[in-house]
Amino acid sequence: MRWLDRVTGEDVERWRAAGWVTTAGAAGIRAEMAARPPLVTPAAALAVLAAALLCFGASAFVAANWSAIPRPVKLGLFIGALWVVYAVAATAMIRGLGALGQAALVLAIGLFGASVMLTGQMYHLSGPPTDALLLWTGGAALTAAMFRSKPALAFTAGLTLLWAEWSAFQAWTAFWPFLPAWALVAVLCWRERWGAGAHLIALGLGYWAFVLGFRFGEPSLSGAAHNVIGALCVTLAGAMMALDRHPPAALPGAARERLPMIAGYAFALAAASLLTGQAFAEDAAFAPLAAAGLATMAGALWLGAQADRTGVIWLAALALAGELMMIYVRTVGTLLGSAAFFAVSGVITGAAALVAWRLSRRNRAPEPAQGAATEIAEQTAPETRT
Amino acid sequence: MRRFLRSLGQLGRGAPGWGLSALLVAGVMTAALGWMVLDRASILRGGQRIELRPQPVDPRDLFRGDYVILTYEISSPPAGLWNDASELGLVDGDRVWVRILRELDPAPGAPLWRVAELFAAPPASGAGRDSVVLQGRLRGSSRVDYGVERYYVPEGEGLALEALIGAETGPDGFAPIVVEIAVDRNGRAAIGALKVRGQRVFEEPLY
Repeated sequence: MRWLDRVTGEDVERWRAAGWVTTAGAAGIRAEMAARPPLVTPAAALAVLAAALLCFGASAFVAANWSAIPRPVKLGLFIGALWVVYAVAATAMIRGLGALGQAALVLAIGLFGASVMLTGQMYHLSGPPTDALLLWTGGAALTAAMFRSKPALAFTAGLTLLWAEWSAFQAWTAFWPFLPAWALVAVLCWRERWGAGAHLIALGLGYWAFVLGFRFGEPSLSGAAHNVIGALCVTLAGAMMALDRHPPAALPGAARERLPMIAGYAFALAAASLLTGQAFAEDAAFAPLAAAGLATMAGALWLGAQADRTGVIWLAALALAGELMMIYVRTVGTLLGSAAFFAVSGVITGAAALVAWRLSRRNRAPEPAQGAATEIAEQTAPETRT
Repeated sequence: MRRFLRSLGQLGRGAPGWGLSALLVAGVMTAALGWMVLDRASILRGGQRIELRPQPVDPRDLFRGDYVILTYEISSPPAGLWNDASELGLVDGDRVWVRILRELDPAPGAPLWRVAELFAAPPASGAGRDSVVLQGRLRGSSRVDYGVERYYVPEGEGLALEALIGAETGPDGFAPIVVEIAVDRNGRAAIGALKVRGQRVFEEPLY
């Protein structure tokens, strides 16, 4: 009952005055709250702060003397840090601190990737960067498999997609090695019975088939094909959301439950296709395409909030972040420059904040009528009736 | 042995499982990083040393951060050899083996080596003092990368190097800058040193 940590004494008093809980019930809640240990004690907070300051000091020292540190020592630092983080992860798992353990695993995977890149840089290893990415992905997959970690598995899936995207971009042919790699990720997801992982596998296959698949052949047509795919997927997503809000009477309940999922898939593919189309677009065509992308993602955000579909909201927020990055990459250094980018970002962020505010206002539970509250109180404490 | 196999089955479950998992994963990653370094060191330790003259690519894009992109006289094989490559079914990204021959009396500023043959598999006949086989990858329609195209220099020293690449040979007969690479018997190469007017200005230690 961790939600109890957010309840205050004033909340309990307010509930008692409204008749939602009896006097005895309020006393019981207060006793439970008093008996629970605080989430963060002053000693623990100071310990964390001390550790953070020490880490910062060590990092600053290393950074200041980086060029003077011999290469074997630098390599030793990377490897030592890896062992420490994995030891922290294992210790946290053993002690039942699941969240800390998972965070340490994600950090360890990131650390391994940085170690691979920095080792390549230190020793002037200039092979294909996709080989380094593959090594990083392999480390992530091993971590996910050995620790049975879903966050590590999600990281592995992301790296696999990145590896496929980069390899296909360089080769301009269908990147078939993606399929066995993705099959391995699918096996790991199945092993963990991870429902969200199943969605991830399906989305990855869709990305490979529709977004990467239409990149080959005539390069000048690739952007147009992606815009068409994006538009079709947006239409499908919009249709699914509309059906979800205004379902026809003949639509079975089971089908209606799947509408947001289909909308989510369609929107995710739409976002990937639209962003790819923008990457290929000429400078003159980029602005209207980016505007259309922003409108689509903002619309998805609003629709998701309207329909109270958290998954769609998250997808739309991620797509918005991707769109902002695309605008930044395409416009920084041109006449538009950073000023325009930050102005657009401010508008988008303000719009997102407005949507979030409307969502929170809509989802706030209305205050029950007094009669209903009295009935609840009578049911929970019949001995108080006179 | 039975107890070890049983413990493997416990990986990811319980106290010994998490500990074993951490040991295994950290160990594999350490081995991977170590292999990257040792593999390169083996090339430098036992490889044949040859000197290549880097060519200017595009002075504006030559430096990104603190590394220099190096292109050599052997990076673009002659057009006739590309016909051979397509006949062999080689495409962008494929591994290739390239035989290079030393120019016996190169003019000042002229290439020191030239590409003579392209192979889809390691050639039977080996290398000699004036004939070296290099392993590379096809890039696009006219390039071969050998894994020695990038060199990270200490901060602030890149611009001086940039000026030297493509400059004329000095009165002492030395090209302003040459790159010394080591080539092992499998054709893999690693940068050993950078020389300016015959003097080693950057030397790569084994580790």
